[in-house]
Amino acid sequence: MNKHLRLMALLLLLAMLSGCVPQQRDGEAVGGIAMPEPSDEPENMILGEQQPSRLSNVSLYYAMSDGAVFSRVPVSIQADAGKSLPEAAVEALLNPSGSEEMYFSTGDTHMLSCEYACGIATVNLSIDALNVQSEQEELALLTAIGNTLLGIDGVRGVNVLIGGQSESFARLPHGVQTEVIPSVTASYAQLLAERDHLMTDHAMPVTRTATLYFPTAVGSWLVPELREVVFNSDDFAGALIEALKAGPLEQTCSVASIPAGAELLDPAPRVETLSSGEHALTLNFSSTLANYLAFSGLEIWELAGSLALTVCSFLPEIDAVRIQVAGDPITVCQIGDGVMRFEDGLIHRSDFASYIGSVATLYLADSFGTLQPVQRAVSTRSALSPRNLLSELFYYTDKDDSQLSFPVPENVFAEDVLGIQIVGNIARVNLSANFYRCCQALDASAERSLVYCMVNTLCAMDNIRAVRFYVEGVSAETMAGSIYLRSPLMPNPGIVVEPVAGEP
Amino acid sequence: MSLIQLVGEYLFTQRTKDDQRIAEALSEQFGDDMVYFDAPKIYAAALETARAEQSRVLVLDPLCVVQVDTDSRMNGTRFITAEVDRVIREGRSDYGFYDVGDAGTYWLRAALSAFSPVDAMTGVYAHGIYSGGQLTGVLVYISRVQEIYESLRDIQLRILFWLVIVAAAVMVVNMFVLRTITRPISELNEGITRMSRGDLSARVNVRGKNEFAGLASAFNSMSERLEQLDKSRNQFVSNASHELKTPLSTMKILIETLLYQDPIDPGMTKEFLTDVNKEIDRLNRIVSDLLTLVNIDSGAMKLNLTDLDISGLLQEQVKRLSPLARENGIELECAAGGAILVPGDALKLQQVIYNVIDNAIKYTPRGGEVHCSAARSGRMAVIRIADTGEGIPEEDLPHIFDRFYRVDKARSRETGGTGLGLSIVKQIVMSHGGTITPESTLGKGTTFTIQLPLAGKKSEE
Repeated sequence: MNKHLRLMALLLLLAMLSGCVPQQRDGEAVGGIAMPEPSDEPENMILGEQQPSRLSNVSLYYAMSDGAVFSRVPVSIQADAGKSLPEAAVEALLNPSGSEEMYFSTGDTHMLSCEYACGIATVNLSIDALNVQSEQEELALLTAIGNTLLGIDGVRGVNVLIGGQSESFARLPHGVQTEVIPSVTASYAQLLAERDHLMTDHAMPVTRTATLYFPTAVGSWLVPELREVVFNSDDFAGALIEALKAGPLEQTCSVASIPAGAELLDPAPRVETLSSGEHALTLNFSSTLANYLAFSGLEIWELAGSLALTVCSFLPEIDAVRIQVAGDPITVCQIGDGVMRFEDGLIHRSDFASYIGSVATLYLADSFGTLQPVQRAVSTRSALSPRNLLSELFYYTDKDDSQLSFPVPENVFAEDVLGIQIVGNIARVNLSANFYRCCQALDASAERSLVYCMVNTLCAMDNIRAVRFYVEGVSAETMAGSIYLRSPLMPNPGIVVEPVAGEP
Repeated sequence: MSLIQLVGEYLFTQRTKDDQRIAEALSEQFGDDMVYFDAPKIYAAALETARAEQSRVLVLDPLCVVQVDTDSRMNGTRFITAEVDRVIREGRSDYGFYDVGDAGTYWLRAALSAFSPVDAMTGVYAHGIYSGGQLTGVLVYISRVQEIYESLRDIQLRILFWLVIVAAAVMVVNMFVLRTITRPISELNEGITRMSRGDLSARVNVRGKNEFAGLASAFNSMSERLEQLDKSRNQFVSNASHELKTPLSTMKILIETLLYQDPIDPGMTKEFLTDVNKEIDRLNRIVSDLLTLVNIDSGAMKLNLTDLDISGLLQEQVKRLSPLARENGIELECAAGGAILVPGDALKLQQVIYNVIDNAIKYTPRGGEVHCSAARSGRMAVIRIADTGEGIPEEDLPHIFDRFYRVDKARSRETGGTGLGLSIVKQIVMSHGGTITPESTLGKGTTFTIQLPLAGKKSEE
């Protein structure tokens, strides 16, 4: 008996020491837990594109006490349909009631236009802006606009023109403002110092941010790109042309407008004051440019537009450019089916303002189930339209043989996106029953690719952070069994693979 | 709670605390980001942490939809575990351990056991993401704890291994102790018990050469000696009874014959009474001899030691027995020289020499010879008494000093011996520190050699 008891005690000790005693917590299958469910929603049949005017919080910057500091006034701005938020913000800033906050009077200064593309806002003010008392006050006005717009999501640079011309301060090009400047006084003092260094002993180069405009490989657009340009002398035009020769660095959808081998025959381009009072810059290129135009497929209007927009947006007080190739001036060019003629060879910025396009990022699926961003040049208006962006996905053709596609099932078309509504920062996408039905055969990987192609593309827009899908106005459980649709879906950055260098 | 569980709880608790700290920091960071659906920002922060900690972070919305996954595999799907459910329904953070299957399914572990290995032990910590007091999401922090599990399993297997080794060692030691200590004691105890019940044949197995083997051997010797003594005692009682009964029977017959004699024959009566008297003498001698032996055995016999001349003593006894030798037709010679002093009791040693010479005369046939001599040999006095009698068979030689032992039973009684003479002789010689050794050749005779220690130098001079 004693031996049995000892044996049992030994076995119990073995079991206790070895940890073979079941823990208190028994096995529990995950599948047995009920998921939380959303509350019922009323039917919401969204058709077309509904972007109701929305209130956005923007800080307006006003120059105070000789421009030493800026005061920030947070306001809610209502951007109506068809108007960009930067445009509405500048209007609010120049509003006569609000502009009284400035330590100087802006008079009747008002905004003539506001181009917003690729995160660059180009604001064209009325000539009244020049009615300020001093160059420093003018700088304060432009800086207030720049500071205000740079506070808006997506705005990376602000270029302010007055009367269609770029301005100079301390006889140096102002260029594009890319950072919030806290004090105009300090900024102006730095300008004076830079001028002295550059004009007297060329000891210190000056760096400015310019907006370069490049033609696109697909479509008839000229898309802007910010570029830091270094000036070692007062030959600003020459440095700008060299920057254009380098071609686009940010955008993959645009191409260079001037070949590297093209040289200016006149090393110091002439600025001519015309009888009309306008200032024109003459650029006389070598014949290499003619060869490039003949073999690259680049059209003359693209060269003319790229130069006119770039030069007039940066060089101070230039109204137009004259372009010559081996002394032969460009006076006419063909755009599509139309013809554009330039009187006396004078090409104005305004001639190509309507050809300024923007870049939209489309997310397309590869064969590995990951997504790759593809840039597409679109009109500035389309860049602000989610429905147009989805249409770009549907109509995407793999011209570059990159094996990318929008994995939508057959018999599903752009029209199957019945409507899109922006509420807050959520895009509500209403799909057709046909779309939903055709997706039922998708496997989990294809379903994920399809959904996140749309979600990531829409969320690349500044004002969209998540996407909610409906089918014929009704909330659906899943797209094809995996992706839950009753909750807004945020973009999936981890599924995106950046294309390797050299690929589109 | 087992030792392994204690160690496991400690290790897992440490990991839980680390995970909890990281998850809570991320949750606090993501509060407003979830409100503004800032997925890139959440993803970047989560990815940085996941890479640094070699873990995985899921950010769920309140409907359990994965909005951010640092592995980017579960976005858009719904994910729920008991821990996530607890956060959503009770607002309480929780931690659980899962074995992640090949398909990415999570199963809660039941036990930590060496017998059901886990492929990918994973810790899941769920913590609420709040903004303005409202639950805006759930952060699920998934860390791989397989290495902790493997360590514990390794410890568990090691403990099991060593337990088996220790158990085997204990068993071996137990067997050894049983064999070397317990079992001999038990056997000894059993032997003593048997002996106490009167079974003197009880013996104990002797194994090895240790103390227990010595004890068992001593016990066996003791019991053997006791058994021998018991046998001797029985034999002695039997012999004594027989020896006492024989004269009594003889006397009874003689007296009954006299009683029933009618008429009484005076000559026969005298003869019979003479015989009765002889038997009484014999009885008297037997009893005297027995008393002498009892006296010696009990240690009551006192030796009156003096330095005596053993050579003279021998000559004296030869002289005393010469008439008997002549009567029996035996030539009795003594070759004793000068005085040889030995410390001894004169009466007792006289009895010794008398008995041995008397025996030699009695057992030597007519015409035989009995030679006595005394000499020195080293530090001993050597007395030899040799006869030319029939000799003693070799098998009887070791027993001739036993009490009542007779080589020729019938003849001994005829010679008037009690059977105790040589026993008394040996006891007296031994009490004097000497020895008596018989040598015999059948048909040629017997020689008894008595060696006694010589007296000191002073007494010798």
